[in-house]
Amino acid sequence: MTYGMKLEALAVPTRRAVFEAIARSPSSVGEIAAALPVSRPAVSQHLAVLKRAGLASEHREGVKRIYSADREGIAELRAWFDRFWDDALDRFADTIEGDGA
Amino acid sequence: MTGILDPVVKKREIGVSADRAFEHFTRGIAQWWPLATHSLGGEKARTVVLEARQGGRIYEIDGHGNERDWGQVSECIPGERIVFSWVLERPDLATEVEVRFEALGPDRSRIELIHRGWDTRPDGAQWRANYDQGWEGIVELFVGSAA
Repeated sequence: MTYGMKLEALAVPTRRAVFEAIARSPSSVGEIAAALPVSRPAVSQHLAVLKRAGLASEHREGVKRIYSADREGIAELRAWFDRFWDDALDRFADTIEGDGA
Repeated sequence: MTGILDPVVKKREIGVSADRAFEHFTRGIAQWWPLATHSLGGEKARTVVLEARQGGRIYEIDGHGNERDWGQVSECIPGERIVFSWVLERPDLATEVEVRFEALGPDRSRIELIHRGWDTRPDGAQWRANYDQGWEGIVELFVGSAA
């Protein structure tokens, strides 16, 4: 899953609101639709995109499907900072050894 | 196995003294920091300043002289270590970075960078809640490096 895909998934404000709602507490489509000015079919569509981007997952509780924010998404963010510092320190090491050291 | 909230730890061995490595990391930061991808302003950012003293600021400056804060130095021992908050204009999502400089010989040293605070702050529970809700902010901060 690329970071770009997550960015795109969260670029739509309403979809971001759906993501933030399930990050606060796992919810059903009905519960999300009740809390936001969005129809149930629209909520379902946003959840489908979030799932494809690796940002949401679902499980069953009785007859209900409950959606929650995927912790793998957080792992991805951490992994991203991991690369961030790799890039920065590579530049650091390259420039320090490249100037006559 | 590394937990998703464990510190990010990076090490590099370099062919200069610990003092020189410290100077390059701090006073020389503008010479090496990848500003275009690692900044708040992206292409607009012109330079970065790291004030190597307790209470010193870390900030980027754009072409108009506007400053944008990255964090503040909480501890600074020249040639040994520097600790700074990593805020990036989002105090609710602040983490902490420590950089240690260890002499391995007169012209050899090791730099170790530790980015922590994902889950270890005293108000960790609140931070986690903000973190989840603040995804948008973190992503947008570094949108340049995701390209």
